Amino acid sequence: MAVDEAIFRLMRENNGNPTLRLYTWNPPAVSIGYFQSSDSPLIAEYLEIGYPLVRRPTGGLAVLHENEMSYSMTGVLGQDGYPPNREEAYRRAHESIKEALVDVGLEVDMYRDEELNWKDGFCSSSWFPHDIVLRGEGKIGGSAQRRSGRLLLQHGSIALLQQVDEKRLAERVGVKFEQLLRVDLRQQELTDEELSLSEKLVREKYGTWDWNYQGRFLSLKRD
Amino acid sequence: MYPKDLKYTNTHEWARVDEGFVTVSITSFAAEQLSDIVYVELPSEGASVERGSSFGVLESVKAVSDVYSPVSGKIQEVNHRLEDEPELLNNDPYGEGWMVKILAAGEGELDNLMDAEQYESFVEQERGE
Repeated sequence: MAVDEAIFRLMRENNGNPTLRLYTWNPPAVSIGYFQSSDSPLIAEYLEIGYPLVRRPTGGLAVLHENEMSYSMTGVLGQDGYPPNREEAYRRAHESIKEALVDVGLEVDMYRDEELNWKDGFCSSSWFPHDIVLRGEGKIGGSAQRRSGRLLLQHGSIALLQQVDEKRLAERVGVKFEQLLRVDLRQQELTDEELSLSEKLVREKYGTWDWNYQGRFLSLKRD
Repeated sequence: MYPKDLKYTNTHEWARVDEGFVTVSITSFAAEQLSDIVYVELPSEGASVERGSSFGVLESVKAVSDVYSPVSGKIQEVNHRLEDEPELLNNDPYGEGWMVKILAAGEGELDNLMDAEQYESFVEQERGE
């Protein structure tokens, strides 16, 4: 979470270059949306058996980060071929993931129903338009966003099914994002600035009980 | 289409100057783009805000957005009704859906904002993209 926010906050300095980050979680954990209450029996079930909790800077519902791949994408809406608005960014990202999942051999569709289906506090059991659905089964991909002016951070989760090769999926997601978001990606490590800001964000925000459980965070302290 | 007595930012907030303070909220265009707003985070009374910095946060379905202050100053009053009735932002963004009243730091704080006509062309441009 801290790395995603660091990339997002430093975007202006980074000439607004779009970034795609793919990662898995160790240890597995539960993340909740910006406004979501941590005080829910469904979430408590996981916390009681030892899953750590982290609050995201993005909206949406709880996600269990286990046997899944997370992505974050940041960019300036309408700049350098990046989608013009957040709905389009949402749709294109999911289209990219859907095509990547087809490439690794899954039969997937996008949820077309306009009807929202909030089942409980978890993202995986609540369906939204454009969510990714395994044919004949259930939802296997969903996302949430944070928007600051024209800067967009989008988070999402893709279930890693047993038959799917993780490396191959990551490679296909990268290729499809390039095509659908109309950006050229090149692989690189985090910059020193991104690393040091993410460490600060862990100390002052994502590593604190106040933020994760209560959603209380004032602002980063000055150095 | 947009109220003539208001000033507008390029991040889709409006500002109205009343005696001694500036009332601020999001425009009908912003509300329409966000669709149903379900959560609102507001600042505390007495907090300082800077022009162009975020003073509030909104969540519509799965998207959290920052709301920016058009002026620098101190938060004088907060519309706490929005915490229980966030739909006021969608239904009446220029009236009951006001977010905060700010005591502006100085005169001329609103000089760089757009008038209704300028804002309308700005929105048309954004829609066209």
